[in-house]
Amino acid sequence: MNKKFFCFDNPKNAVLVCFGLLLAVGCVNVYSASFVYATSEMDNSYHFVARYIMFALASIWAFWVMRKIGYKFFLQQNVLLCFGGAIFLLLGCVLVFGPEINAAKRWLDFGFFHLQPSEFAKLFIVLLSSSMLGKHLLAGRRANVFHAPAGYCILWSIVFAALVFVQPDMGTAGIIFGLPALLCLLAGVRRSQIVLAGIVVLGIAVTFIWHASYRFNRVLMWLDPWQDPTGNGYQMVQSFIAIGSGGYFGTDWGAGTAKLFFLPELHTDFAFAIFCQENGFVGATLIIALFVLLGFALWTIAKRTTDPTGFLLVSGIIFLVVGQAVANMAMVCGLLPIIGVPLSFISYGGSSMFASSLGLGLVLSVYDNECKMEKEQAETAKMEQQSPIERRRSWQIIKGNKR
Amino acid sequence: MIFIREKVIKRLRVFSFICGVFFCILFARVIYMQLIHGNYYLSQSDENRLRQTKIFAARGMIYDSKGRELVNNYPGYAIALQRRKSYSDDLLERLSRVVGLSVEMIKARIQQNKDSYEPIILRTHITPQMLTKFEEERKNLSNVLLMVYPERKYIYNNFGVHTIGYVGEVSEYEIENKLYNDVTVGSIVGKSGLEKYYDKVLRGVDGYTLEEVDVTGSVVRNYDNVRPEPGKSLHLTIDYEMQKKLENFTKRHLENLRRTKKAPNAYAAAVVALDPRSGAIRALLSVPDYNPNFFVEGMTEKQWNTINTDPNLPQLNRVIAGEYPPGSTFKIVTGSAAFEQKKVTLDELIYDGGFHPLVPTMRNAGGEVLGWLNFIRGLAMSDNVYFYELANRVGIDIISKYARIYGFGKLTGIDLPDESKGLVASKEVKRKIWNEGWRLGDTFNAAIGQGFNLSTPLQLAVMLSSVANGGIHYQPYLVENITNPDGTVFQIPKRTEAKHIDVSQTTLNYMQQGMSATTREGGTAAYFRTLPKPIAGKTGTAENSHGRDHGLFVAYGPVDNPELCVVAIVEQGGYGSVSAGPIVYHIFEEYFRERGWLPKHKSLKA
Repeated sequence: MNKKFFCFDNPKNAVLVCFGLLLAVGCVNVYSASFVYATSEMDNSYHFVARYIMFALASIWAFWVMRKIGYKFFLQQNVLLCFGGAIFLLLGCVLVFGPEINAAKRWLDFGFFHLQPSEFAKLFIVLLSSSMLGKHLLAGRRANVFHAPAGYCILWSIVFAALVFVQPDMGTAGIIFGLPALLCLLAGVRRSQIVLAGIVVLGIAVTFIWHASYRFNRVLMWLDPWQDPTGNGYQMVQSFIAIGSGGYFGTDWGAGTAKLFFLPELHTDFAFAIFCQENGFVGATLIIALFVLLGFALWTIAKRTTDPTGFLLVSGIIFLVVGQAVANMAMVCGLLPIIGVPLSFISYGGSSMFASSLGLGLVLSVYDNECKMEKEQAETAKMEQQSPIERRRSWQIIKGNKR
Repeated sequence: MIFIREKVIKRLRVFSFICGVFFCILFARVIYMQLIHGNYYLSQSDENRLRQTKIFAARGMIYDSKGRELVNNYPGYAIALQRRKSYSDDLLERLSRVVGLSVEMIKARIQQNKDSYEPIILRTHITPQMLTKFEEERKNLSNVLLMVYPERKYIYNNFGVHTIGYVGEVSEYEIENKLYNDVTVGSIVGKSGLEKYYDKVLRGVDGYTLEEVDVTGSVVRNYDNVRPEPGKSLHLTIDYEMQKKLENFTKRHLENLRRTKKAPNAYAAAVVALDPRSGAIRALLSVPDYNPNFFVEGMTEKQWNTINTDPNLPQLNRVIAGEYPPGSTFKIVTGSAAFEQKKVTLDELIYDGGFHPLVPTMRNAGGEVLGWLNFIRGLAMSDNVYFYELANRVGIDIISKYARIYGFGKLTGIDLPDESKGLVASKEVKRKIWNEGWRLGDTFNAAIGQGFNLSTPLQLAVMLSSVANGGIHYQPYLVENITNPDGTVFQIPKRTEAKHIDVSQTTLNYMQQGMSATTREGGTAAYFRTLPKPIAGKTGTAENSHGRDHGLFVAYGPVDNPELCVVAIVEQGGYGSVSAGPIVYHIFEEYFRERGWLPKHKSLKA
């Protein structure tokens, strides 16, 4: 576990470095993207960046707390139930009390910040899935979506996804439904079940897309945004213009033009576009490289994890953090239709950042746990080779250290 | 622990492989957008946010010889459309209601302008009503601009319109055929007169501002300002007072002629006065005229009809483009030819029996019989038979030659566009037009300025000035100098050098004597005697197959030191001494009054 990872001593360091760099880049980018908007709307150009920094500090704290508590605590059934119930309640509250922003109810207003429970639902569903599916793996069986433990997580995810879907927030609902599905795949679901699930998912998606015209338009616009550059394709076209105009080295610092209200949602969903405009190809490469590195480090941790629940948890977090980031960048570049997926850490959005940080904290607690286990195993192996007296002495040393 | 680890890790590998492929696609996409198509998107981005707005340069002013403003500019409004990839139908419809153009016309306008960054000017000269409508609709008219531009104002309306001309928006045809330099759709250019001839100097160079705008079109930052360079001003040789008096008098005189039935169809006239010492034109009048402001402001149908369907062609500048038979004024050419060829002497008497023996059908005007005549009396009495005989002696070829020497049949080179050349009678011309051989009768006709001879009033004036100043040919001109906006002289327009014409001093002297006799007792225009200084003149009557003959009068004065040459033609005015003569008389009267040779406020002729 504790082996070298590229130039880092271990994958944990790589994760920490990526985490820190992403927060730093995000902080700068949020300021650059939002100051025009913040000046005109809030009369305070630091409105968004101040909040971002606040959330970032809170996230780092949460990250540290998670790492200390350890993931095993959260995988206990009653704890999961507690959290599940809380999130269920919050999602319900959103639908009832949530203020309507852009014709959608996604947030709970807590005065100085808006809470987006669906972001936590994502994390929760990862925890739940790894706990449930882990049981299959621990028993040495493949996961089976029609059987008790794995079936639960699918059911839960459907409930949450439905609650999020009616907000409406199809993108997040899709992710909440998709994360346990991916983890099931990972946990060895049979091919027949994969094909079946694929058909069902495709059917549902097509139905939903046909059902609401704006979703259908989004898909059409994804295929050819230039057919209506001032109407439905506007966001897409403006996003292309922003990214493309960056060229090799981008505009001068902070001189990106998309922020002059040409591209809406600039500091949130389209953060990548303005970053590309201002920092050019160099900046785009940096962001992509950071996420690749983060993904690779997490992947390495997952690969080296022996505890199946821990393994599934880490994999789920990879999908959550890196997967979302890729999806966001692909969407901004026009490779995917526009779905409301944030760019992890770079986009302004407290809930998303907080949830992702919790996730990373859990990953590191898995890592810590594995290191501890490895060390213990090494100790035991060492002690088995030692004479009984030496063994006792070394126990004493360990105990003495502990004191 | 029976964790089937290998299998699960295999699946994770597959996932990470897919993820890696996705990253590669993403990376490729970024390369494609930023590195390969970067410039395209950059230009799109600039189009998004950069707005170039033209600042129109004010056209140069036009002043009279005493520095009085004749033409200036005042601020006018134009409605323009911001450049966008496409416009909503709703916007175009509202816009069409505001500016009063159909949606199709607006679309065509946008199409014409598709290659420029600048706002598309939809309509200039916005009336207060349109402005009110625009302000009412302003909220719904995003991307529509109200621009201020200098609008041309012809202060004295009809005054000197044939000299000054007018401006208008450059037409599609003119752009396609590159009739003007550096113009785009919507440019204002001179369309006639001096405005057209000096368009390049008058127009100036438009400036622009380059601004960064946000999505609503409000200015974020000012990038670049290029101030417009105003056009240069023209200083004319024409004096407002004199020209104005001439205009008033001529119009009144024509009305009198019509009322008294002396010339019931005398609606049109052309008068030009120039200085024989330099070629500077002092007055240039063509009647009827029109108001050039109509062209600037956009005219009503009624105004359009009065200008365009009038049979008297108000837009025609008769002084430079009206071709008339010179009539008896051409006898100066015939006489010069005869003296230069030494076919006649000053004292030789030629008998006028009312007709010429060789072509007995050709008689004097009115059928007079004047008996024995010398040259002076022949010219003063405008005797046709005398000049038939001279023509008989020298022949048509020589007459054509001298006509050309005096400047007939070619452009005078005045600084106005669309000048006519006229025509000099010759054997070739007849062959070309009628495909017939030349006969003696044709020579006789040519000798008295009828038949094939055609000349513009200005050509007559140039000939007259050469006679008056002793054989020097000057190019006539209207613009004394061109000044910068700050008043310093920018340029003096190029004129061809004065040159001596190939006619001897003695011959010219005879001509001067003959013309002087015309205005004395016994001449055809004896009433010129009443002027304080002697005037030399010549009447003429140009045959007109479409109605009454045109009346001509040419004169210069004072005889001993000529300062002014005047040519006047009254279309269908009958005898020149009755129709055109009084106009010339009036000019000299005013001129002498100005020179102090005549007391002010006293008219000599009732």
